[in-house]
Amino acid sequence: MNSSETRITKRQMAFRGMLFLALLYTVLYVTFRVLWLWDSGYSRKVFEEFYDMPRHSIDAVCFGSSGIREYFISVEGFHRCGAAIYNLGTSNQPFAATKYLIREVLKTQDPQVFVIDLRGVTDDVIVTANIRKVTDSMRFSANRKELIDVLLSQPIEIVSDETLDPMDFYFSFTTYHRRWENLRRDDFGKTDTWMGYSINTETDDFEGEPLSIHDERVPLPECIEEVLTELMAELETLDQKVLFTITPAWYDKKSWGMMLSAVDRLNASGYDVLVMSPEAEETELLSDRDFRENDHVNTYGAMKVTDYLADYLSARYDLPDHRGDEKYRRWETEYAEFAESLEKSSE
Amino acid sequence: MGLTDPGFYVCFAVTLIIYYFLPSGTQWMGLMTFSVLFIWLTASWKKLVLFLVLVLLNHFCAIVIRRLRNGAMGKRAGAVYFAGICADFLSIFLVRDQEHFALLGISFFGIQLISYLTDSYWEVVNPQTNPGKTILFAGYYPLLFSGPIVRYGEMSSLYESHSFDWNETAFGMQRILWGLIKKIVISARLAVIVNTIYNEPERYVGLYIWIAAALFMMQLYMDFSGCMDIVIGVSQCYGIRLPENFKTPFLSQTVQEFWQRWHVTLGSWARDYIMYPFLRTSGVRAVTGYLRGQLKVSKTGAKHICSYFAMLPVWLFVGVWHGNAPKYAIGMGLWFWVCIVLENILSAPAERIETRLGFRTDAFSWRLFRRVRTFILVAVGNMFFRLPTIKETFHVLRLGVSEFNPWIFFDGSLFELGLSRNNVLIMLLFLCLALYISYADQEDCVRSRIARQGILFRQCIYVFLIWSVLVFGIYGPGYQISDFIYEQF
Repeated sequence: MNSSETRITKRQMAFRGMLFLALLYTVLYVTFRVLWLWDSGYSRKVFEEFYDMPRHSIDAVCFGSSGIREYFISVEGFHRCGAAIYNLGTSNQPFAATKYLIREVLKTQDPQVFVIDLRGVTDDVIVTANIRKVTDSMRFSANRKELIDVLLSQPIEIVSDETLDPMDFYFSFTTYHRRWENLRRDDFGKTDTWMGYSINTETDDFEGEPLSIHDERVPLPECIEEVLTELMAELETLDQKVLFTITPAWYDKKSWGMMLSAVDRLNASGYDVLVMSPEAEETELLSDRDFRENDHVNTYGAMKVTDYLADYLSARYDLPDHRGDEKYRRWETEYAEFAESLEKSSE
Repeated sequence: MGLTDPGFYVCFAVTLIIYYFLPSGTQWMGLMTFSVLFIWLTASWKKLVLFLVLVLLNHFCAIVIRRLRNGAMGKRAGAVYFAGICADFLSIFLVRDQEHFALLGISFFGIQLISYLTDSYWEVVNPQTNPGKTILFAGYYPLLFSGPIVRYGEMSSLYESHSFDWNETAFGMQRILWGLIKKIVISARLAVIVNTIYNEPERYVGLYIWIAAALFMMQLYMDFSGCMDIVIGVSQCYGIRLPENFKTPFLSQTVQEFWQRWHVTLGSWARDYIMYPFLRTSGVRAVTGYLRGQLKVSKTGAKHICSYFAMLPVWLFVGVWHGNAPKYAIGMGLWFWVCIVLENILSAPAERIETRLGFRTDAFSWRLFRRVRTFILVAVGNMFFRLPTIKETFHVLRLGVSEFNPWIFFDGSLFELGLSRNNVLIMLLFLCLALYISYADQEDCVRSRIARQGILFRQCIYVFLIWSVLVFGIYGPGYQISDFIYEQF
């Protein structure tokens, strides 16, 4: 058959074209959503739920690595004090990403406070998977591109089992398309997470050396110093209040010393730093119940830290109480599900 | 820039839009400009200069030859022709393996120029008077990847004006898509298994070797025919029809038939420009006379013997065209020559044996036997092509008969050759689909059949194909889509 025998009108052509594009868009949209980043820390979920938040509805946003990611449960914080404090932390979140994540937040939200955990200053090596947890979870934008460029070119050593081609980070589907044979329930959006937080009730009893006996400072690597300087310069331009935190854990001497150096710099520049010791009474942490390893709390521990931090933020920055507000129904619903699930897993 | 680079498709889309916006009569200039830019951007200005020098040399040689012939100066025309041909052969066999020129597709435009000059010398075509059009004929960019090898006389559509035709463009796009599936879904997976076995032949002995040989044949077919699909599809979008290069080669019952169905344009080129002229030489005529007169060989016998000898340079050319190493001359040239000559010599005695033993040669089973036999013979030749040296090929062949290990088909060993079970299943699914489509295309073009279906069903098929390329394609970090195997020629 000669293909040109069947002539079609311009209207038919337009209809066919639109139908084809609609079909293609639908299929690819679903495919791209399903075949995307999967990690046990549900980083993708953390960002997805953040992007779904109504504009200007968040009062505070937390950034950082597992130091905040596993310590602050957004829905528990809301239940405790009624403030919408969203945890945008991801496992081993590169400290250099903080500046760009703040910019990302400010596109849709206008929080009163930014909470930045300092555990990231101790990472002088970064694994690409941890870069991807941030960059692959973000929406396409110039900010995302800039963040990728910065993270891939920063002087920090990057451990990678893949070539560091920025194109593969801009268009992550080139990496994730091959996940088709490893798809799981979570990939179809069926995750047991609440604003990206998943329950973990594992415990590990241990006795760490008291941190209070160490006050020796360890100099920050030059590249971290630079990142910290850049971050402070960025924070100077913002209207928001900023609170730096060190969450409770039994750190090794070197990491603790590095964080103390960072605290000194920040204090000297006039920033607030909240240091939560695992031995301190105010957080009420129990080493045999609330930790799953020496440097991470489990959900029981996270509840205690969340309550303490939420109270602290509400009181110090006078955050509003949204409990009962229809606009914040989602926070209450998710908390109810979280509490029910925690109860089940505790049985 | 290769045929699997996203950049290629961006450039293609831009040129297609520009092409159809160009005024009637100037579209060929657009194509010529795209082609020159393509050579410049993918190679370098030095290669572009080499290309232009060669093309213009042939262009003016053809014009001079025609003038000398008109002026009854045949001998001088022959000298000019000879000089032009020498330059073309030099470009093919000496320059192309230099690293700097490997990507220029010099073999393809080189032998196209030889056919152009020869056709002009034989007065089969009128020489082109516009150098720009000769540049377009020789450098039409889709052809620079792997052919097909076209003749000047059949490429008049290059210079014609084409208005946008939705159906033609859609058919072209579909063909491109199908080519991509063959390359990055099927061939890339086959390559993983083949490479695993051939990289450690001491570990994978016996039937593994024969599996690799068979799969390499499939890989080569999917790779090369996929490349042709893309090239022909791209041209179809411009409204330009190119000759087909494959006609279901695995249905061939003899090696000779295989080469009439595989890389068809190379085979016909070698036949028309090497074998036939060789048969017409005075030397061959003298040998024929000697055979008939002195040795009392029958007319048919003498003719056959001479044609076997005339095939020798053809197969040497085919072998050397694949590469300058001896393994190509032997594996891709002499091996097939021997097979074809033996097939011809033994066909009459074989027929007599078949008749006496009462074989049903019209049965499907007989045809299948002959097809399998042909497949094995060609697969052995291609082992020389794939493996690094002749010595290594003989070593691997020995390993292939060193052990009989049929259990590998049952104990899951085949899923430990670099591909997971799911990937092997996907590969087999698409491989069967591709072989079925190439078979079904003989009766009625599958795209035409799909075009007769309802709009929604059709579009679902196309969306599925795009989705398959994106999801099942072997690409991304950690994987490198290798160049098309034939792009190196």
